[in-house]
Amino acid sequence: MSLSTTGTNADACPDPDAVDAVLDRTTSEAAGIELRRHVARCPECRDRFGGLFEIDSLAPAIARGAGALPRRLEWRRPLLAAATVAAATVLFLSRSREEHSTRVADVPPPPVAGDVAAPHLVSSRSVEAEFVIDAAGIRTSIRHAGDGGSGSLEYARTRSGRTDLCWSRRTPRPIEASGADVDSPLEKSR
Amino acid sequence: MTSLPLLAVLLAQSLPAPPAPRSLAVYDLQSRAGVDRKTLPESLDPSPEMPRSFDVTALYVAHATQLTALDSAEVPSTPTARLLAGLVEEEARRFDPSVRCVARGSMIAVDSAASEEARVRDLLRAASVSSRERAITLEVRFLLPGPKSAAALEQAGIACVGADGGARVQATSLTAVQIDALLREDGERIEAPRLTAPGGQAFHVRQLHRLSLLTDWNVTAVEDLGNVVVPSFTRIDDGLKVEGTALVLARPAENGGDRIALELELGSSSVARPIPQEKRVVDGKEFVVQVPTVRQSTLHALFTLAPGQRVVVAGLARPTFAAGDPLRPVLVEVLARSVHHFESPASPDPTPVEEH
Repeated sequence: MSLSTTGTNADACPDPDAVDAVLDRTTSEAAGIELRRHVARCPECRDRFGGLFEIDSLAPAIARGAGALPRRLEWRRPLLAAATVAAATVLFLSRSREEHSTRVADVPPPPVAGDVAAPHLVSSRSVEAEFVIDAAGIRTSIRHAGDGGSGSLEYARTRSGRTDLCWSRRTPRPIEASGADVDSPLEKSR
Repeated sequence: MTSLPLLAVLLAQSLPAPPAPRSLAVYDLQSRAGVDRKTLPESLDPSPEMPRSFDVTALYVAHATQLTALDSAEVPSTPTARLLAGLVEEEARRFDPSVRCVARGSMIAVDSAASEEARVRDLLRAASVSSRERAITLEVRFLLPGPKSAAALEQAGIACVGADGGARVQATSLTAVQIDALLREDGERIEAPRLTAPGGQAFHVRQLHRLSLLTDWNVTAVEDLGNVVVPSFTRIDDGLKVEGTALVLARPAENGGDRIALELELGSSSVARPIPQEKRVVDGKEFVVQVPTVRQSTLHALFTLAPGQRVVVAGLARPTFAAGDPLRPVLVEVLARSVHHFESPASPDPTPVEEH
């Protein structure tokens, strides 16, 4: 295959078919080197074909992997450009996701119900309490919610000796309105 | 003429079915036979007119004066009674969907269809015996997700908030390593050593700092020295804890295999920092005391699960003090297994003792 001339640089400027052949690796290696040298030296050819060789050098793996790529130069140009843009986008997104959030690939799928019976909640209750220890003693406010309904309770106890605000076991009975089952840390603190 | 019987059948079908006879039975777990049925006073036997799903607890409270022996209101139920009640209720619902089991003291009150009472009694007795022969190994971890890891957990099917003010118990197919991966963005986890607890025995996992704060000064008269001012300290727990008990219900494989009941008391406590100080005059002298504010959040959950099933309990939050500071959820991951049989003591007489 010879380098046909179509441009103003009559002795060397290749036609698009010749460039296509080089990009397709259907010519000899020596002919390809000669054409690339010309494109690098000739301003007109650099303007006309330089972008194609640049894309070709950026995405060699894409070109090798896509065996079904159209052979014609007119088809290759937008495809290669799109592939390059897509590769760059994927690279950018994966890096930014890695830096700022959990990658989607790391999130396992939701559990699928199997043969094992699901856990069965028999009873539950939550309690939030605040204790303020000051000169007057201990002021307590309690909010509770759960099986026994919900409500709140406030009371104060005057200071008398040592106080321990530690956890101890609490029965699961709902807190009674009378305060008989108020928070056990205070019961223990007496 | 032939349409009359058909009409009668249709009319009968359209009428509500009469309520099935109910049985209210109370079983004593501390009896010689393991489980004894207590005979109720006649006044407590439910009448046929009683609604099908009446509340045993309400019934007991209403008749507390007649049930002093059972002590329905003042004596808290034992962990074993609560766990057995939960296990048996879940199991009995396979054949009696309306059954209710309520623990009172060391007794269990069972409201069931009268025709199913014998099966419930047998189930309770078998559960009581088998639960003494098993221990439970537990792996417990505290998970403290930040906003990003909470979103990742939600995406993986693990909610970080409770349900209706109580606990949310969620089974998950994720492994501990996968959960760790979901927490890596902005979450923390606190591991605890694996523990083995005999059935019905209390266990605890605590990750606490115990603070001793000088909160008062007391005047004490000492011979030859006169009045001496003695500091008074308050001990405050700051951190996370799980206390609980577990029990195994041994079941054949065709019935779904063993089942474990867990009762957990989860707690998170925070002390406002910096701890304010104030001056106080004691015996004519000025002293400095600390004035702490403590916030505690606790969550009680009694639930049953399959051995080896990894569950995540949501509903607990770490208390905060800064205004507008969002509550940070605290999840507790639990994996329980039924383990080796203990040497079982001499089997109790399986024949129940009826009291009349």
